[in-house]
Amino acid sequence: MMDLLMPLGLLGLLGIIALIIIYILKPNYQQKVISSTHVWKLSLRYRRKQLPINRLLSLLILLCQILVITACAMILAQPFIPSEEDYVDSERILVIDASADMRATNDGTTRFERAVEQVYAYSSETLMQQDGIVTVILAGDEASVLVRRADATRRAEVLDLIDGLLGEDDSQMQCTYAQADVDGAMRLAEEILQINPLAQVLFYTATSYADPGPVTVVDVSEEGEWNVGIIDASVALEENYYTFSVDIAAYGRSTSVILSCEVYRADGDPVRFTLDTPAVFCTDGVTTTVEFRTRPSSDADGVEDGVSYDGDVLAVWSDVHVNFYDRVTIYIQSADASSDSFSYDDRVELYGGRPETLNILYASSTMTSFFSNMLSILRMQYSLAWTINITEVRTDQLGDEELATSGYDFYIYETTMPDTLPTDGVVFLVNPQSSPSDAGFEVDTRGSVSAPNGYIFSVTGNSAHPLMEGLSASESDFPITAYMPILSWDNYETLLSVGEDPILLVRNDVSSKVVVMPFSVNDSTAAIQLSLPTLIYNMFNYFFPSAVTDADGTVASLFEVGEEITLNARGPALTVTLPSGETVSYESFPTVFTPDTYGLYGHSQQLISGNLSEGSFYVKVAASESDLTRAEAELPEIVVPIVSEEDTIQDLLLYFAIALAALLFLEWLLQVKENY
Amino acid sequence: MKGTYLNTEFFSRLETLALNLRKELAGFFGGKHLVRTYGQTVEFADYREYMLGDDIRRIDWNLYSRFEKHFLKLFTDERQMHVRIFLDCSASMAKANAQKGAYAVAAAAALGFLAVHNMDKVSYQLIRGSRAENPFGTIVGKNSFFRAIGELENIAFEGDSEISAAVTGSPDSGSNDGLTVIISDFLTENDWKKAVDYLVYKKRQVMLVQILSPEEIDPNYSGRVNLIDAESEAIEDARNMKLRVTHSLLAAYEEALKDMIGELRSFCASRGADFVSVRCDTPLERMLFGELLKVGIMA
Repeated sequence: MMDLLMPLGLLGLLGIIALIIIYILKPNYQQKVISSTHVWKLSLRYRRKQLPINRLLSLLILLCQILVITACAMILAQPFIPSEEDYVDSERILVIDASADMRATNDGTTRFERAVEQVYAYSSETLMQQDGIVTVILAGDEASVLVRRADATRRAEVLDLIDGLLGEDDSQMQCTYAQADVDGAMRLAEEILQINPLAQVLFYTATSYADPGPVTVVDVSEEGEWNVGIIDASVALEENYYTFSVDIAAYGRSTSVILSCEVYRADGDPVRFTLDTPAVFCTDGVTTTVEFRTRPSSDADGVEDGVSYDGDVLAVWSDVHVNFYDRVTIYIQSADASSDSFSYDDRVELYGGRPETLNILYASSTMTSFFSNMLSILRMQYSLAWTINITEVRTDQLGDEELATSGYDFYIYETTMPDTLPTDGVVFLVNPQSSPSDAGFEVDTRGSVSAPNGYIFSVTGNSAHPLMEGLSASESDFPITAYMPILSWDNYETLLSVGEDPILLVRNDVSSKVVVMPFSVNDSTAAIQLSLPTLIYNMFNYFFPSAVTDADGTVASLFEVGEEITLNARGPALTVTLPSGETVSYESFPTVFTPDTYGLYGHSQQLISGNLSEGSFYVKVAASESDLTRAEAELPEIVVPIVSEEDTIQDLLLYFAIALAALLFLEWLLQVKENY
Repeated sequence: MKGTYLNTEFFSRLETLALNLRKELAGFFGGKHLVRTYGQTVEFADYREYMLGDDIRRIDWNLYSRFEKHFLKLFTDERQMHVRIFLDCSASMAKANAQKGAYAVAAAAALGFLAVHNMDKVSYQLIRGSRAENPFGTIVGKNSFFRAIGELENIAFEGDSEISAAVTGSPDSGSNDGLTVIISDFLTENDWKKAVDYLVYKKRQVMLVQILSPEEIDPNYSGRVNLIDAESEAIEDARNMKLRVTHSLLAAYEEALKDMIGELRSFCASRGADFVSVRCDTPLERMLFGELLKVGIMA
């Protein structure tokens, strides 16, 4: 419904009366004395016959002029239609911080509970008002809207939803173990502000912000909250001795703590042993590093009672040697046995102390030193990820013994080929002189093809394949002087070729993982110019990917909630067991897994050999969440549209101005028409 | 009304001009206009055989000695013409635009001066209503002319005019003895054609001079206008018009005026009369040395 900002502007309509008076008073004809009207009388015969509508022109002009005056009056009156937008200042956007630190407890109540209770009370109060509107946003690991612009009619529903955030117990409490997506929450709030810029944004959190901007920060922390926790932990293997390093910190108070490290050995005595630190004083807000070293204290100077100080680092020594370990559990507790406010960072577990065994068979009639040395280097290179067992077999010395085609994870057959291909591992066929019956390719048995003396073959191929990473599909990386022609190679992908003849084939499906290199390392300098070592490294990474790596591809076993974990599998599927016992299966790789709770995660996969490969990793709460006194400089910027009085209405001035212009033009047109 | 054109300098410039009248005219003895009849001037014209009764003093004896026949030597004749100028003195000539009347008087004076300067007679006939007044009589000689012009400048333009009635009813319209000039705006419903036909019948050389004001040629008013005819006596007069002057009507006016002038021109041409239409803001010299020379009445 149209309304007027300045109704007095309608007085302009008096102009219509004035116009009518002018029409009445205006002399209809101006007197003009001329010599003779004779020519004028003649001219009437020459004038074009007027259309009947022309007689209406005067009336239309008057009508136009009346409308022009009306439009002017309306413009003066500033007409508008009240905006449909709810620009009410009684709208509240309540953002609840659901980050892990909100689980900090004081006097039996968590910060999150206090925040929810305050939001509940404030929502209840707001929705008691007739035009009160409430939006509740939960800033968890991913911000979400719990209630969107609910008014008083939805009061009961809103209060139920808010109350539901707490659940029946802590396990059902919708507070995450991750960092809060504050930025996402502010973007959601911003969306509401676009609808109603007058809405007030309140952020219920325990983090203090020096510059909260337009957001009102409601502090839900309480006096007396404090925390000592494990910030980070890592394992280092030096000179075959493990060192478990732990970063700890205290927040809210300075206090002495005791750290315990339980090592579950996998070799020798399987029973755990425990290393305890003496009381370590932690200054409020300062990170302290403690190391547990599983090597004799006699190896170092300054060790007294199994403890040494290396600068700020406290080291606890143990004479118990650890070759492998299943897991290492590290606890922290206050020296005076008092409980802190945040218990989720008091323990971490380290895995990866027992690498998976990888059995490699190298069978050759020529037994080139390249492969022997290459495999040894691989064993050292991947010592943390794999325990590599290498078996070398000279095929010309087997006698009646058959060439092994099972029991290994990786088979390298050089020159002499088995009758059938192994089915339980990756097969690398080098310079095949024959074709295994089920290999899927056929070697031309008439012999190798050689380049003219002093020349190498021109090589082309597909360098985009993961096996070719860091390599170029050309003769510069693969200079070859002779190769065995392959007549057919169905189901294989050609990576390198000389003309139409393939010189590097790969097959990677569920039942068969085969690489065929139909030339000898003796017929190429690829081995000494690192092309071949790179190719074998690529084969390892391609066929034996680590199941769990961090975002950088580094093998790890300790992650934080919300951190992206890359999962890979050597088999067709990989199953992750969550701390709750639930399992999640993945069938396409690599895939990214983001844990949403802390605790122990297991993973298992069926290998091509039929064996089950299992492992574990631990997810702790984010280190930043341990800081209960966290202070940030500013909240993520939130743009509040500037609301002027005009924004609360739909201004009709423009439309009337357009109408006025149109009427003036029409009036001018009619005048021209009439005067023509 | 005081003319602004008639002064010594103006008349001195006219002394170089003369009226070029037709030779068929008879005229009177004693003028300067060559005519087709033979007379007593010294300018040889032709020979013819002696006839009984001819003056033997005009026999060319040289020819007789050659042909043994008597031939008379003939000489050209020069006659005096009577220029009659009918001047429209109706209100339409000055009421709406005084310059128009002054211009008409000046044109009449100039033509009259050319006549007396060439030893012709001039008479001014002032058309008032259906009558033609001749207040100055027949003017011969410059002294009489200037006296008449002094009074002509003060004549009043008023009332209406009926050109045909005035010309045909004039007691001194003349016959085969010179030029008759009618000076008017011809913006009249009166049938001026009768006047031309009458004068042609009377073997007079005829010239019509139409004088229009700029506003009559290009009206500069628009909208609703009550056009008051200058010759009307009251606002309710039938000659007055109420009009809404529009662009199309102005175009029609222009076309009507053009056709009207064209009709004047074509009618005059069909009757052997001369026609000149001038704007009163055109310099008089341009009218005399331009328009009149162009039609051939001036030499």
